[in-house]
Parts: sequence; C-alpha cells; structure tokens
Amino acid sequence: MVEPDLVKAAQSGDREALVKLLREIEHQVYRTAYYLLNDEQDALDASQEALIRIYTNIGSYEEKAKFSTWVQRIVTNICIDRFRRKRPSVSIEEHELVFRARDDVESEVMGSFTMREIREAIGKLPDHHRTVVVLRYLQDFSYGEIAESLNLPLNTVKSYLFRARQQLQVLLQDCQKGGVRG
Amino acid sequence: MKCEEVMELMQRELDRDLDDLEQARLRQHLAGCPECAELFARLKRLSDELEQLPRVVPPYSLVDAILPQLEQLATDAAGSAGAASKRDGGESPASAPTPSRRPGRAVYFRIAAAAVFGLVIGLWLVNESFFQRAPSSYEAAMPPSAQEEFAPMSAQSGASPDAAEGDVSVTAKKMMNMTGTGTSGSSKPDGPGSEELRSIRDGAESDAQQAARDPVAKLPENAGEATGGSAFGFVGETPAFPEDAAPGAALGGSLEGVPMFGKPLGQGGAPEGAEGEHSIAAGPQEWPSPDGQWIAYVVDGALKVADATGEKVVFQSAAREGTVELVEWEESGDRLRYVWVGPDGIRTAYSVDLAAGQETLGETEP
Repeated sequence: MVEPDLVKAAQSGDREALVKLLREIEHQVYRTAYYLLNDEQDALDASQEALIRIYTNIGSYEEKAKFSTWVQRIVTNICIDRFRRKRPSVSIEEHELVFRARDDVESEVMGSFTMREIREAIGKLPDHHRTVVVLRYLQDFSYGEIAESLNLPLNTVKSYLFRARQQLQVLLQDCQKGGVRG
Repeated sequence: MKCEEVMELMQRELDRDLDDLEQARLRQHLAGCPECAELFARLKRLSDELEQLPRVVPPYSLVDAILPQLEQLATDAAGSAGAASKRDGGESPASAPTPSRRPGRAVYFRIAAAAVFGLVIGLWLVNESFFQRAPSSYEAAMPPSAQEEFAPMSAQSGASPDAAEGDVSVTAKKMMNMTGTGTSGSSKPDGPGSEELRSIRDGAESDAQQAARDPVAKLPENAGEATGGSAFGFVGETPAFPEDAAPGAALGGSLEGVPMFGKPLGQGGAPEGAEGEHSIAAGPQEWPSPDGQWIAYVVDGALKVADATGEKVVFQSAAREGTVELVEWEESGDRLRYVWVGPDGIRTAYSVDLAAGQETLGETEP
C-alpha cells in the first residue's frame, strides 16, 4: 500500500518522492504486464513505459480514485495496446518458442495444472477477460477496484470475470486432453 | 432454485462476495445437485490455482533502468519552464546530476564497447584455462568448488593489471559476472541462463550509464550495485562460505588490497586502483549497508545480516535452495530488500526489518 503522503509529495514536485513512489509500485506494474503479455521482455518494456508515463502524468492523478487502480489503468492500457498491435504478427511458432525457452521454469506443477498451462490459457482469453482475471488474481483487486481501473460498470466486470473463469476451465480441460498445445 | 441462478452464486462465492444467507442457499442447492457440485468443485480448484500464480518480480530494478530517461524528462521540463525552475531545486545528485556533466550517447557506446571487449577477453581466457595458474591467497581462502567459479575473474585481473578507468572497470566487472553465468549456463542455451544474460545485459547497461554519469562521486554506490550484481554469476552456483568461517575473514577482510566492510570501495583512489582490486572485491556475495554498520551475505542458502565485524549476526533467513539477487538497503540502513530466485527460476521478494529481526514476503504487495 503506497502512502498517500508520498503520492502528495510526488505530485507537489518532489522528484525524490516521485522516484521513491515508482520504486514502490514497480513490482505491481511488472506483475500485471508479465501476466498480460506472457513474455518477460515485453513485460519489462511495457512496465518501463508505464513507469515513465506515471512519472510524467503524476499531476493528473486525482485522489477520488485509489492510486493503485490509477496505476493499473495505465499499465493495462499500455499492455492492451501492445498485445493488440502484436497479436496479428505473432505466429504460433514464436509463441511455442517462448514457451519452450521457459519450459523448466514453467513446468512447475500447480495443483493439477502447470503454471505454463495456466498462463497459456489466460493468454487465450479475450483482452478484457484476461485483464479482469489478472487484476483479480495477481493484484487481489475487488470488483469495484477492477471496475475503477478499467473504467467499466461493476456488472460488466463480474460478467467478464465469471465468463473468463468458465472459459479457463474449458481451456484447461482441453489442455489436459492435449487440445491446447496440439 | 434453478441451476442457472446458482451459477452466479458459485462465481461470487469464489470472490468471497456472498453473505450468510446466500451461502446457505448455495450449500443447499449443491447438496442436492451433483452436477452443480462438481462444476463448483472444478471452478474452486481453478480459482485456487489462479490465486497461487507466482508473484513474479522483474530481474532488475526497472526504476534504475529508466532513471536516465526520467532525468532527461526532468531536464527537458526544466528547460521548457525556464532556467529558474524552483521545482527541481531539491533534487539529489544521485538522481539528477547537472546536464553539463552528463555524457552523450557516444560515451555510453564507448563504455559498452569496453565492457564487451572485457567479456570477450574473459571468455577467451577461460577457454585458455588461464585459471590453472597457482592460486592466489584469495583463492586459497575460498572453498575449492568456489575457486573454479571465481577463476575467470582472477584471470581477468591478472591479464589487465593496468586497467585504470574506474567506471569502465565496474562495467567490465559486471560483464565478467556475466561470464560466470554464461559459462555455466551454456549447456542449456534455451534455459534460464540465456534469459539471465539478457537481464544482466540490461542491468549492466544501466550501471554503465550511471557510472558514466558521475564516475567519481557515484563510485561507492556503483561498486555496491556491482557487488549485488555478482549474485547473478555466483550465489547459486557456489556453496557460499563455510558456516564456521567468520564473514570478515571469508569475505576478504584478511586479504591484502581488498577494501574492508563498511569502507566505500571508492576510497583510497579507487578509480585509479588496479582492476584486480575491484574484481576481487566483487567476488563474494556481501552487501554492506549504506552507513557501513551492517553486512548482508549468503551462507548455506540463508541470507544473514551481521555487524561490520561479521561477529554479531542480527538476522538470518530460512535456508533455501536458489540464489539471491537485487539486495537493496534502505538509506537508513535498518531495512533491506532482496529477491530470492528459486531453483525453478521463480523470483520472490523479501523485506528484512533489522529492528524486528524478521523478514516479510513481497514488500510491494498492495
């Protein structure tokens, strides 16, 4: 939880406070980017872009929103732009390459699925469904916080999240039958 | 209640959004509907697994990496707002040196080129088995298995005793750390080794930029960072230091020419010093606090913090398999943060509170 005083100091032009603020949020920013983009290097690039945007736009943050949701709005927008731009140009082979390179990291079994299988399934969700899942499970956001981050009505957030979980369940079931990777 | 209506209750239950009455209704329905009960069990399992997804952390400090850009943005903003901007008056020298001292891209390029040259030389020397020369007193102080890992650095220091550029040597040293990682990881080119190299490449770049920006005043800090960076190359692959050896002795306190704990590496004209000094000082995994009062180091898979003499251990983490990276002290010297990279490559951030003698998981958790 970022101290409100630190945010105020950063907004008032204290550059040291602003840099400290960025240090406090960099892991949260990276985590979202990592799970949205499914690639470490893309996540590093997007996180840095988000941190620079936060740095330059700190003055536009208004206290009526939570700082964490404002930050997540910035990073999710950047990631959505990136994966929309990238998606048509990325071949399945390239995806496979990324996953193969990370095989030993991601073969870790989590319950009945591997981390890789779960991440791969998340990556197959539509943009907004994926974003809602990441904010719910990687940022521990409530429905309200997700709605604030994505500027969506609360019921839409619930609908996306519920559908995303059903889709994930089907995708992972397919995966266990060899459907996702085949 | 119809099964379709129960679906929403099941979903909201996963998000802990049901009140007592709704929970009772859900339980009642599930008790009498095996199909919904099975579906709920599957959704619950999925949700539990999503909650367990690793809280990944970046392989290096993203803020450090973008500091030069932030600085440039601040300079541009100050320039456009007029020279007499009060807003940036309180900037610390570390984050915002005056524009006139900031070297251009050409300087970064030269430093990067020097670093790459150092790397190539280092690799060549390793291949030439240069490290089979008689062990120095420093190597003799190391456990035998550690000597092999440190050998490339010794070879490098022996090969270029005249290297005098302080800032370049810091970068080169970092690159030498990469050599260690790259060599050990070469048997699995698609594994985490190559990824680490990429991470380190970026980290080294950032260090090079920082060093270049303010080579003299910043040297102690840069040296500290580079020491931290050495964890990439060595922590996981060497068994660290014997339990019975006092860190002071093991980490170079008894060695000639090696700076003592708490003493900034930049003291005694470090920029003019032989590169060998830097290389040796960077070898062990120890991270002195900014005030020099404490030293963090890794022994037998546990991160320990001791006073500057190494005699009094004030904190000790649980022993874990893996490596320590990104050890960062707070300026006050009473807290430090570090990242533990498990054998599976998963990174976990910890924050140590020395006053409490405790560490907490994921210091940036909301």
